[in-house]
Formats: sequence, C-alpha cells, structure tokens
Amino acid sequence: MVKAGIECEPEYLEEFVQEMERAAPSVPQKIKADPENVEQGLAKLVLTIVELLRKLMEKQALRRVERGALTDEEIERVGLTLMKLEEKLEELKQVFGLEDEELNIDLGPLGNLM
Amino acid sequence: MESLTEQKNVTLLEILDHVLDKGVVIKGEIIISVADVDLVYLGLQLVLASVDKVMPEIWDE
Amino acid sequence: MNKLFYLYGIIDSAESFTLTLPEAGREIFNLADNGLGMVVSRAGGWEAGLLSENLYAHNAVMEYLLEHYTVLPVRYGTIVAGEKEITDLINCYGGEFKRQLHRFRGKVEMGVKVLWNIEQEQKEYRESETSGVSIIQEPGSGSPGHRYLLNKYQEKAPQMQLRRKAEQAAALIHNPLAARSEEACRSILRTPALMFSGAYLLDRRNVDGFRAEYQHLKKNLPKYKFLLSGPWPAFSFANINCMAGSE
Repeated sequence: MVKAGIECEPEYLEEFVQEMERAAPSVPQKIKADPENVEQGLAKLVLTIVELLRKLMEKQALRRVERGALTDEEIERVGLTLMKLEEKLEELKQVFGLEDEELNIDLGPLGNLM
Repeated sequence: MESLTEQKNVTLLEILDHVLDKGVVIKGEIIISVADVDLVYLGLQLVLASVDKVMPEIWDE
Repeated sequence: MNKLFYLYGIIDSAESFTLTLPEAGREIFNLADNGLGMVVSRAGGWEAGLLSENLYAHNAVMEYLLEHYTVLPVRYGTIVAGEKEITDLINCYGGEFKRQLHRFRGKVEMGVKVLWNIEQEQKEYRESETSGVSIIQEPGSGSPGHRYLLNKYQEKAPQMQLRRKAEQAAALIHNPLAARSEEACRSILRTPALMFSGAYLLDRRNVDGFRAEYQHLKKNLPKYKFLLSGPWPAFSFANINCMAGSE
C-alpha cells in the first residue's frame, strides 16, 4: 500500500510508534488576533521568543561553567543576569495570565536553535 | 495481528513525519490562520485537525 | 469563477494531464506551463485536515510522482485559490522551481531513526564520574549569582552530558550515511528516547549501497534500535518560500 518501505525489527515497532507520536507536532498554535485576544496572543509570541533566548543564553553559560571558562566575577555577573531574566519572565507570565506550557509556540526553524 | 497494527502505525507516523512541515511553502493572498502574527505557518494552511484525529486507528483496536 | 486546488508538488513535465489514482482515491491534474507542472486535485473547501486518509492519499500521489517524474514536494495542506494563482507561481518562481527540480533529478530521500535506551544511558552517566567537572565553589555558599548559576549547572549537567553522548552516537551513525549521500540533515533527541533522526538525499542508483551501509551500522551498534524508511520524495530538502498572488 505504501511503497516507501519501512524496515524495522518487529519487536521495536511499538516503541518507535510511541516515540514518533511524542515527536509529532500537535495542533499548530494559531495565535488569535481578534480584539479581545490581541494582547495575550502577542504576549505569548513575545514571551516564547524571550524564553527561547533565555534558554540559549543559559545553555551557553552552563557550557562555559562546565569548561571552567568563567572567572568568579563572570559567574556572578552572568548568574545574576540570568536569574533576573528568569524572574522577569515569571512576572510577565503572571501579568498576562500565561502558563509555562503556553509558551510552547512552535517557532519552526527558530525552535531548532535549541 | 498486533504486529500488523504496529506496522501500520509506524507507516502512518513515518508519512506524517516526512510530509508535515516540510516542502515548499506557498504563501498566498487567501490566508486562513491569522497570518500577521503567524510566525510559523506561512502557507495557505488549512485548519489542521488535532492529533487524536490523525490516529484513530492507533487508539481503537 | 476561481476553483480551489490542493497542491501536491511541482514536476518537470510540461504536459498537462488528468489521472485517476486509485491508491489515492482521487483524480489529479497536472497544470503545466513553461516546462513545469503543478500537480493538483480539486479541493472541496478549506476542510481537508490531518485525517489519516488524507495523509495516505497525499503520500500515494507523491509516490506516483516520484516513480514517474522528478518532483518538488509542496507543504502538506497547501491550497491555491485558482488557475490564475498557479500561473502566477510559475511565472514568478519558475526559475527557482527548475533549479530545485534539477537538484532533485534522479534522487530520492531515505530516512533513518534510532532509539536508545534512555534509562540505561542515564544509569551509565550516573555510574561514571558524577558531574565530571570541578565546580569552583559549593553551590550552597557564595553570592546570589554564583548560587543561581551553579545550582542551574547541577540541575542541568546530566542533560548536557546526555546530549553530548547523543551527539557522539549520532556522528557514528550520520557520518557514514552522509558519505553515501549528496545531501544530509539530522536532528538529535527529538524525544529523550528518539536519539537520532536523519534524512538523506541520494541518487536512486545508490539506494542499495546506502541500505548496505545502514545494515552494517545496525549490526555494529547493537545497543540501539534502528528504523529505515524510503525511498521518499525529497520532502526534507525542499525548502523554499514563495509568495503567490499579487503584492
């Protein structure tokens, strides 16, 4: 029925099904832009991007911690910045009534930066 | 047959994985999703049903 | 009156045709112009969705096109508003479409996915040197920035290590397969267990050699679980954006 062959050990099929279901994109996030929702829709978008940036910066910083490539002073500075960023993001989420899970807008190619 | 269903499911999921979000994007004048703030779905995207509608065969035996 | 068309892909055939594809349960049309064809079927309305029958039908059309032509796949779910839009697309993007078709001529895509045992990998990580790196200071003491960052590190270090492990394993799989391909791309840890996911663009004639390499890898890496699929049209490599309609 489908010519593209799939080759896989039968005993692994179930696990592949499970993982591929997890990996599959769910309903694409449509950001509502009707008058009542514009603000929240935009907030979701902006905060998703900010969260992505925060994660990227955190990742970079942690890599350098691991390599021992940061001075004490730098650790303090970077740590404080990231901490404040995280706090600010939490505040903003609360202001707009957004949960963590809501900042999961599929950013397509941008999302792959992670 | 247990294995046949799984084979079918994997096939469907592989099709999904290969076909979805891939390929040339055509953006047109008639846009269903609200394109102005739509970062990702640039094309003439249809309203996509949710995932549980994709896999009815998977959930019922 | 404009008709709605569901667009599957672009092919290198300038002959308009109509074809009933029983495997797809529908009639497809090739609307050709200027050496290119846009393969469509009538779209009733905007309702088609992610129903599995639509996916199978879409796939069946793509398989047919792959077998008989060179095909540039279009994003699933694309509907064009009418024949004028089709003509516009060909006029605007004909050159780019031809370039892509040239790139894909005689080629197919193969897909490889690999699962690993995440619990086993995590266990191995814990049993090896824990936290690998000398932390400059105990996380508990020190100033706020220090504490924050070092706590984060303790929290994230296992994930980071796991990711590194996955990168290494992925290279073992990806590199030999990419060597047998014209183009390749891969992603890692799409889920914690789905360690590797790769797509390979290669000449049709090299598929057997690719498969042999795959079998070889599978044999040499018994602790992972492998899946091979293909041949597919070049879905993962067809990455251009086009604006249809007037500006």
